[in-house]
Amino acid sequence: MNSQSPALKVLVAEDHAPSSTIMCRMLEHYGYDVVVARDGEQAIEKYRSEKPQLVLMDVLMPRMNGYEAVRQIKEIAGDDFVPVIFVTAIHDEDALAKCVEVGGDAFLTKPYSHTVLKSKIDAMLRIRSLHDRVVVQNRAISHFQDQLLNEQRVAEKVFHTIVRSGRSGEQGVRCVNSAKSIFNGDLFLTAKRATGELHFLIADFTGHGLSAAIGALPVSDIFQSMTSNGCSVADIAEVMNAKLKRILPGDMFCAACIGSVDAIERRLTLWNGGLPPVFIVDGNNRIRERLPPAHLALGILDEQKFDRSVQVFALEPRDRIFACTDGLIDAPIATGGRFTQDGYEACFEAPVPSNMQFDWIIDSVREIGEGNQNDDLTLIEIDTNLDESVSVAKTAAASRVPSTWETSLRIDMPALQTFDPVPHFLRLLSEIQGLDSHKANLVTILTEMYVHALDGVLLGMNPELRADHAGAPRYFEERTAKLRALERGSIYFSLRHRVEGCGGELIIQVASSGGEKNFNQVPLSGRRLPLLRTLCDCVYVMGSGNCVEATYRWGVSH
Amino acid sequence: MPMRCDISENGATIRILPPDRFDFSCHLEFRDAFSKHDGKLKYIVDLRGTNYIDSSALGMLLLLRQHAGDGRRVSIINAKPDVLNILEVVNFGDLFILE
Repeated sequence: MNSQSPALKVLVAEDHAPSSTIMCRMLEHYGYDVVVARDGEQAIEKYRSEKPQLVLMDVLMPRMNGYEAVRQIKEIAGDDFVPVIFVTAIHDEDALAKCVEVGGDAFLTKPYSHTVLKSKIDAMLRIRSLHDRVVVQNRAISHFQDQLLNEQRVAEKVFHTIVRSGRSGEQGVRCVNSAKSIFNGDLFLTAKRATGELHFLIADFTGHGLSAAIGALPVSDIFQSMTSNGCSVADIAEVMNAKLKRILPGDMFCAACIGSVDAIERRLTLWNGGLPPVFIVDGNNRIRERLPPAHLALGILDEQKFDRSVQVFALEPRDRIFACTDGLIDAPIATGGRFTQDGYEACFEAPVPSNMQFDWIIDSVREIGEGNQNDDLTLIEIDTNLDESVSVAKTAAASRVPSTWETSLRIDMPALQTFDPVPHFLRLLSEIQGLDSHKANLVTILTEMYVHALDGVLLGMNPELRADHAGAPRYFEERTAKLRALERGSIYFSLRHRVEGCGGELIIQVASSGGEKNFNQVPLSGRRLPLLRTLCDCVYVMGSGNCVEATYRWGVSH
Repeated sequence: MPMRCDISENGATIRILPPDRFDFSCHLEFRDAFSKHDGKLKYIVDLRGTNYIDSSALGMLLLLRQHAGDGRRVSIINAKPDVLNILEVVNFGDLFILE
């Protein structure tokens, strides 16, 4: 025995005094601390008061026998392991079996040799120390588990708050989202741009649970704030990528698809990085377009290497958009394989009404699936016939007292190729004047004037093509090519604001110069001029059409 | 089946053979397989024995690419059609040499 550690305490319950004495001497000789009891009741008392680490128990004793005493001692001990060795003169097999049945760990029949008793005690103590170690480890594990669960719960709360507040609750948008652990790495967000387009984001982070959901915070933040600031899909993708690249560890990334549905112009703009193909499905449930990912997932490439280019598609009146994460494609099925891309596409062959299509797919996965997915699974459907009425409400007041100020900005090449000034001015208007309730109008006015200056004047694009939804994809292709080829040109913005009554008057002037085209006459055409006229108090087209001035009055009763 | 890792005779190429299921359970082994070697070597990830690959495996490949400093020093070879399809869908061909 290690002389450093305190002596182990052994309880000896034996009514026969000479036997008890002999046993005590021997135990003391081996360095144990001995406590003696004369019967079962006393054994229980001594067990309570002395807390021995091992018990040697006779079977036949007055007042209470060894069986009952051990039964009670084991009950008192609970989860603690107190080895009990019965030491008895009985040789009857049934009686010996009962020793173990009542909770004894070993028995020794009299007469016994000291060496055998000593080895039994050693063996029992070895088991006891093993048991103690397991208990300590179990306690640590369960403590750790509690802590982990608690942290997951906290993170889940945060995550669900994001998800709940992250959907603008549009009609015609459906989403099924099932998770492998408490919460998952899949995210689906929608937000409406002030101009009426619906922005959506479907994302799948590497891994599951907490580590996957961490990235959801910045993604959701960027998506909401940039959408409300009127930023484009390409801008959002670029900023998200840069942010995720900076914060995520090297082996984590986020497969994501960011899209914008313009229900008036009947157009889908999409940036798909690493998610399964997005489908445009027509009114007859046929897949009209498969839009495979054109890019790597977010958070992989450096800012300089990131490709922000988007795809633009024309939408037919009854079109719906389906997108999913790879959890759907990879869902295990009962026959041993996986749901697969083919299985997913086959769902669109089924003779179901179009409003049942979504449920049909979900039912198909669940029916043939094993019930528990291997991965997080998300499927969304967006009906492209969204309500996109642009509000014209100019009587609302601003959150700041009107004041007089002006600002101007000139953008030359090559900044014109990538920089979108509209969000910049919106932020300015919101910060100086608090014109948040006029955002919808202002973003439309600024965007239309800017598009006229850049697309119409500098690039010489035909606005009729853009308005015609079937021509839209060609329009954007052509626009991208022309913008890339543009060598010179600049756009000048001027915003002047002055107090008028209890509101204000904002005069916006956008002028362009240079460009490849010899612009004799560039009409402010399509639905652009009527739209501006609806929103503004007056609109002047000056020069050869290269300069437009719009006056917007707010908080003034007309 | 454990991860195998061979070094070519001239010591310039490391060949890593991930197991049947290349997923999160291989994380430590895979990291060990390349992190003890110089990033300037050539790396070959041989997927001949791999039938399943998940997104954390894709993450591990990105770590290897980071370690090698350049995806052009990392080749992914012998991928079976299903596995190759996953690598292509996520456009990993832009980052690695897929053979």
